[in-house]
Amino acid sequence: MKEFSIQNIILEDGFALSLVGLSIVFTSLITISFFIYLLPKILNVLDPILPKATHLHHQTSTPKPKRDDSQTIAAIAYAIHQNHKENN
Amino acid sequence: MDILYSFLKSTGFYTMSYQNVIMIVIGAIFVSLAILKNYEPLLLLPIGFGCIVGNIVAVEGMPVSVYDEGSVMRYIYQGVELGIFPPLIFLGIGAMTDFSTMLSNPKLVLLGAAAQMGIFLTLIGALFLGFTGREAASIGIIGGADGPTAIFLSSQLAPHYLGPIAIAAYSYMALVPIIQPPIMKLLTSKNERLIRMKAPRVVSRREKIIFPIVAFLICAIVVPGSLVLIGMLFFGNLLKESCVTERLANSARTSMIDIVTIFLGFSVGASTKAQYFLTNDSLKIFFLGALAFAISTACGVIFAKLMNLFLKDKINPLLGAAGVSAVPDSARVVQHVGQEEDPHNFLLMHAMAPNVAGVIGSAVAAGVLWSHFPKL
Repeated sequence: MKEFSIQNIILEDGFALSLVGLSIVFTSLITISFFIYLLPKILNVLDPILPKATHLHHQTSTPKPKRDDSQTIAAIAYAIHQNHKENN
Repeated sequence: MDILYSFLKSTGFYTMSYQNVIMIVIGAIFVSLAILKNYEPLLLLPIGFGCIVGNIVAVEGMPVSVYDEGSVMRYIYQGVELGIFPPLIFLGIGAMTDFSTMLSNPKLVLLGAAAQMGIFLTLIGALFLGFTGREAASIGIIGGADGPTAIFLSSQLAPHYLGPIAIAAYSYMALVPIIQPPIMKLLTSKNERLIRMKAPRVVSRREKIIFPIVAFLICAIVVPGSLVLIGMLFFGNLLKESCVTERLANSARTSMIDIVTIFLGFSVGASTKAQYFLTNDSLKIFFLGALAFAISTACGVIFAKLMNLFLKDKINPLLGAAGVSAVPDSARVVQHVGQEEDPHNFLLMHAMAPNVAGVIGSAVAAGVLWSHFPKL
């Protein structure tokens, strides 16, 4: 049977661990928050140097296969021509 | 006659105890809640059914349960026991998460930190109740309201309590819409609940790409113990935001996370064999888990009210409750409670900021605790 006691907390450094742990969590998230706040400003300064993100995206994405529509266009043109010929 | 008697001895009727029956009923309740009430069905259904499966007791020497060497279930459970599944879940979550609202309003990140207070206060409570430091740390992390983080940390620090901790964490995550609203209403006035948030600014694609890399570096350098979970979270997010690995991001947020969730939920459920699960310690863990969750919610709300003392543009204190990392349920609860006062107040988008910050916060907290109690 486990004993309920404040002594258990003291023996395991519970108070110190909680305080330090919480401080580290806050430090990490405050640093992230501060970085997020600065990010647009940093990007404005670096804008002339950095490549455009959209440009990068187009370069690396899979290129769409080019379709050769010339035969379809020729067939449509031929059909229209035949239709005109029949009407005349 | 002997053969018939020996067969009867091998059936579930002979080997099962009343405790197994209780666990089967609990499993059935989980399945019912998932189907009838739609409470976290993706988690509660596999866990509930796993719970039913895990409590059918086979005869000795027949390896079927997660605790029997050589059983198939045992191999699946290795993913939980060795802490493999939680980072994979984080990869999927990262590939799903949009950090835009957080990037547009960085002060809301602090709410994600405040809501982790429950973890550390519960750790003290667990120590008081006689748990060892490693066990108390694993129990406290339930307050982060993040199932995979709770499983990861307890698999590293207190594997013997993995079942109760995982079940408690996921149960409370499913019960977010029931646990949080009374605390939120108790700690806020009507006027505070009516506060409207400013529309978030548009976030550039560059910011979204740079953020996961730098945020990972900050967390991993400050707390190397958070590297596994945070690394996977931000890696998944980079896959999504880079837009050049759409196939990988899509696999991570759909097929992969679904497969891992099935294995994780089912095997965690199957680990709740009554002989290991129904103990006084499990009851204490459930009590402490509920306490952790309530404290985290309260701390988030109170911290938001404290921030309002110093802010020109006030924030709706309900957002503090979304600092627990039950994504996106706690954000939905904030939206729901806010709309009870003003149906035209849309808080969901804003609540996602502390919500995703809470995921980062709980992973960092897990890293801190893991660093303090390294593997024996």
